[in-house]
Amino acid sequence: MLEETVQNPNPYPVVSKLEYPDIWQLCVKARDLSWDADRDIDWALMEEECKDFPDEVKEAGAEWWSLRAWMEHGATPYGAERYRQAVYEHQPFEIKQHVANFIFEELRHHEASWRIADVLGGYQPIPRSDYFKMVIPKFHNEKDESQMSFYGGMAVNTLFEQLSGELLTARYKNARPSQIRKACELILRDEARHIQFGRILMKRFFEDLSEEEKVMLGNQFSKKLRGSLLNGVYAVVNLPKDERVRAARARELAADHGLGATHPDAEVEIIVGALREIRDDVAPYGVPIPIIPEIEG
Amino acid sequence: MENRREKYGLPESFPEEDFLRDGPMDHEIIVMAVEAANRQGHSGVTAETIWSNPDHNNLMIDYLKDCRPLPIILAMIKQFETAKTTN
Repeated sequence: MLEETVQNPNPYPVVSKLEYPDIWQLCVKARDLSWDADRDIDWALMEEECKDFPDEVKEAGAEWWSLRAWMEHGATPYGAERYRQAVYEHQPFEIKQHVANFIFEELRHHEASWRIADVLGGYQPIPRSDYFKMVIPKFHNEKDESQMSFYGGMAVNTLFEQLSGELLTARYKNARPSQIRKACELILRDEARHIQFGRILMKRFFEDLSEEEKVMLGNQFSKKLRGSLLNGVYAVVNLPKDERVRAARARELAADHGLGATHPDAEVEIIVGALREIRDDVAPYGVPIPIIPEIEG
Repeated sequence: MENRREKYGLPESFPEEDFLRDGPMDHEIIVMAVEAANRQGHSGVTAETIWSNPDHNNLMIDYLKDCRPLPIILAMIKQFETAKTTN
């Protein structure tokens, strides 16, 4: 039997001593603040609150929350890669625990999102556009990750979590049906912990990085942001005209009816503001995030 | 139009979205939009004709207006509109 199992790295030493108490505290907090999409969201009430929306609005909401579900799910392969890396590098227990929590939490967000889509009109397991099908799995690029140290890569990712946290806040504020709002709030609470993890990494590890690695981290963040926004442009221009019109209208309906969505126009301001905040946050550690005139104007 | 497969030494089967996107964003957006136009049956659209041919120019503006209005997108719309009036 043993020969048939997946090969594991040499597991020894199996580390049990805590090295980073502040990261362990986050793990404890994750336990205390754990929630269950089935138990903590009143799905019957959500159905009641959404039942009178016109069909067109329900469909738009279902599409929006399906997109959210795909994106949440998209974070799990990234988490799995980091977990594997943490095991191979014999990272302390609390790091592995945090990464496992991260995967679990992203899956929980995925569950809440597809269930909301189901209430509104039916979760769509596959994007209707071929280009979304291709682009979403490419948001994370392991090739870029391999250029950075374990903690450097995690830090860059958490800077992105900070940016998406700003977008999620706007979507939480947009949500009007109480149970969609509650789901947004619970998701946001988890994300805040992920951002906190990033802050701990910055405090603990950024000062020890070489000047070269600091410049590289700033550039990687900038490259990832530009790439992510270009992927958005790629997805739009490759849609047939009628599909572009339909998708834009659906997004507008979801935002106008308070289904926890944002208008693309409003997102630009949020992205630019978050980028500036992130740049200010990492500046004390000497990590320079270059100005990106194409985004910042 | 630039042959990015050749430029980056990539195989024919390399998917479009895997192309390195390290160039200036406006350059990357033009390459993407021209390729999308060709795929959608607008043959003859090139990185040159989008500035000189009114139909191709309008197509680019149409694409860009549906994108998230980043400063670079707004600047490009303006450039295409200016090109339209000077042709």
